[in-house]
Amino acid sequence: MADLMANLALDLADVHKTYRGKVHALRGVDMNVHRGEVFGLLGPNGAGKSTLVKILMSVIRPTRCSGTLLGKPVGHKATLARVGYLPEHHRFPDYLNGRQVLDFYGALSRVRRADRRRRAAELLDLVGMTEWAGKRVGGYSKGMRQRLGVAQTLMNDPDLVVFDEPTDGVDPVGRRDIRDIVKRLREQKRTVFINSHLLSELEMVCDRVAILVQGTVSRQGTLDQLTRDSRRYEIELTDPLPAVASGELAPLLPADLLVGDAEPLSVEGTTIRVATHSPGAIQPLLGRLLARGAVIRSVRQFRPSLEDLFMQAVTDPETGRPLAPGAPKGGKR
Amino acid sequence: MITQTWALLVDSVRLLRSRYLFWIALTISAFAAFTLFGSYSFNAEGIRILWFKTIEVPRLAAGTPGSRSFIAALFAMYVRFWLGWGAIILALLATSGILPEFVTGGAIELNLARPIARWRLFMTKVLSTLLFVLVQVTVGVGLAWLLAGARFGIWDHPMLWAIPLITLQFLYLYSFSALLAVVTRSTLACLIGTILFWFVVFLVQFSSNTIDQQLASQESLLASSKQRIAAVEKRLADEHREPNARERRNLDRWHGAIDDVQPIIDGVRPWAQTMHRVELFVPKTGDVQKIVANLANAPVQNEFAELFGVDVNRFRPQSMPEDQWEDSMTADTAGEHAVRAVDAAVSIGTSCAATLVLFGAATFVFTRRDF
Repeated sequence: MADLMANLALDLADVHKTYRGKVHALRGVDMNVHRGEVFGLLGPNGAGKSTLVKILMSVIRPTRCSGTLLGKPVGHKATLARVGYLPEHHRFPDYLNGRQVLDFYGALSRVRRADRRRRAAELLDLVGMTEWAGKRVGGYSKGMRQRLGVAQTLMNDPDLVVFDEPTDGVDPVGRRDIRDIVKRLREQKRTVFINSHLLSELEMVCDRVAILVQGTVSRQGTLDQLTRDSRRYEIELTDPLPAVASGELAPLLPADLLVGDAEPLSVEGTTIRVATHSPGAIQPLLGRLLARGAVIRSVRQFRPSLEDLFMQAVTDPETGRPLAPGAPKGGKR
Repeated sequence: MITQTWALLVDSVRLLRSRYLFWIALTISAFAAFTLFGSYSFNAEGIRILWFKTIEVPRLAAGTPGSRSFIAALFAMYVRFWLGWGAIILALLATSGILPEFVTGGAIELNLARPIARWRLFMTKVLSTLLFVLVQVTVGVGLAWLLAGARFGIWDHPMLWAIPLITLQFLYLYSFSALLAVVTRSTLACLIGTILFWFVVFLVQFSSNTIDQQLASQESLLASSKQRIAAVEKRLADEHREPNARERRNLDRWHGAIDDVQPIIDGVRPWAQTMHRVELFVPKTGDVQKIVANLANAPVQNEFAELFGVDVNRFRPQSMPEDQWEDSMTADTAGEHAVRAVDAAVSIGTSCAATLVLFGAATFVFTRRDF
């Protein structure tokens, strides 16, 4: 148990936040982030993502929370010396230049002066801002501020980095650079926690994700775990399959290789969908189809994207419509 | 801890260096100090303006007590009208946005997500903002003190008390601004609210001063009339005679004055006591300038006019008896002294207590609030 705890950068249990006016932003969030992994937090607007991040960074006080951050209770100020944080829509003082920004926030994170100088030079180079280091932040573009923000999060050589919309306003080159930085942080065994709307960006870098919907964690795990039940094979034919033939196919599927609660086999026009992620499971089917004279146009393995997962999570299964933004009012669901 | 405090201080220095108002105020402070203490000198005849014109005022000749009083009076005016009002208004204009910007969305997250207690972060930020006024006042008062010493040989060390005292005066006002900043996060609300607060505080003090002045004047008139009656009655008793017509007229007039003044005193005194109680609960910004004037031994207005040898008696109306004029002038000066009379310990103590309450409230809101 102790080993498991030591291996967790973030261990949140039963996090609640109710704002004045009785708005229940968080309704019992449970979440684990392992050390050294890149973790993505997703969710629609008003799901409580920013509230959760701000609670971690002690910007907001939770109504109830029994979690730990780097082994210390959430809100433990001294622990924040080991955390780097890039808030969404951050604003640096306009009267400082890039180097001074890094120096100031580094000092607030208790980094020694000599280390600040060295780190600032390294990080400005890392984010491609060395040439602008002496210019006032007031003259920076949004992308440049974002790059500087990323550098700022790393000034204290953190064990945990929390990025809130890190690629917001950044051009494609900048995005790639930030992605590379995240990958480098992972190589350095640091934990990265990313809150972002850009699902494709997250899909490229995250080891695990959590989807927050209406103040609770709807799904959590590796992409592999989350998509396992939805993976399938799709066989595309040139002509629609006769009804008799489709009835012959279902018994050919080995039950132990099927996944999920969905229909093991479904036919829609020229497409046959098989709920399995085992290539061996579809071989008898292919044989029977060929024997029946069917012409196979393609066979492909289908894995839902993060966007598919996200849409599933935020869609009301009863109505098929997106869930209302924000946490529902009233008591715990 | 030192690293963080030092970083916030350095940040404040960078911030105030970036504000035009800081440099404008600093220039005016220096210019005013040079004008008031460097543009003239004292010689055997009186005051010499720059290097070309001497105004003959024997009481202000070099080395006389009058010249010392003159410098003290000018210093008191410099503190009262520039450092105590003008410079503080500029400082409020320049600093009222600092805390709202500090707590605004996007900036506050960067500041709070640090290994520093919220109350320490807030107090350090607030106190480092005082640098704005501290630098202004240090330059202004320091220059005035240096010029007075170097040019006139008047090394009046109590003048230097103006540096912490004027900074304290700003702190009285800034405590309210800080509270507004954490509640509203609006620069405009901070600026307008603080100026309104200052106005209310001014009104309380102005009312109290006016009542004190009135009370002291009337008490002086009462005492003068009683003294004059006593003197005449003693003379009559010593000489074993009845008052002559002129003495009877005077006695009637003085008794009449007592009859007029006593009800006024009786009516005003409860108001004075009430206002003193009310004053205990507000930061007394105006008292700071009086304390500085007292420390510098600056003369009150009537005494300052006397330094120039102005014969105030020529303003006496023909119909007014000389003794009545004399008594009214004495009463006038007594009123001015009453306004100037400040118990520094009580004034600063109660003002600091009020300021602490405001800062405490601001710190409480800052430490408890969700940003």
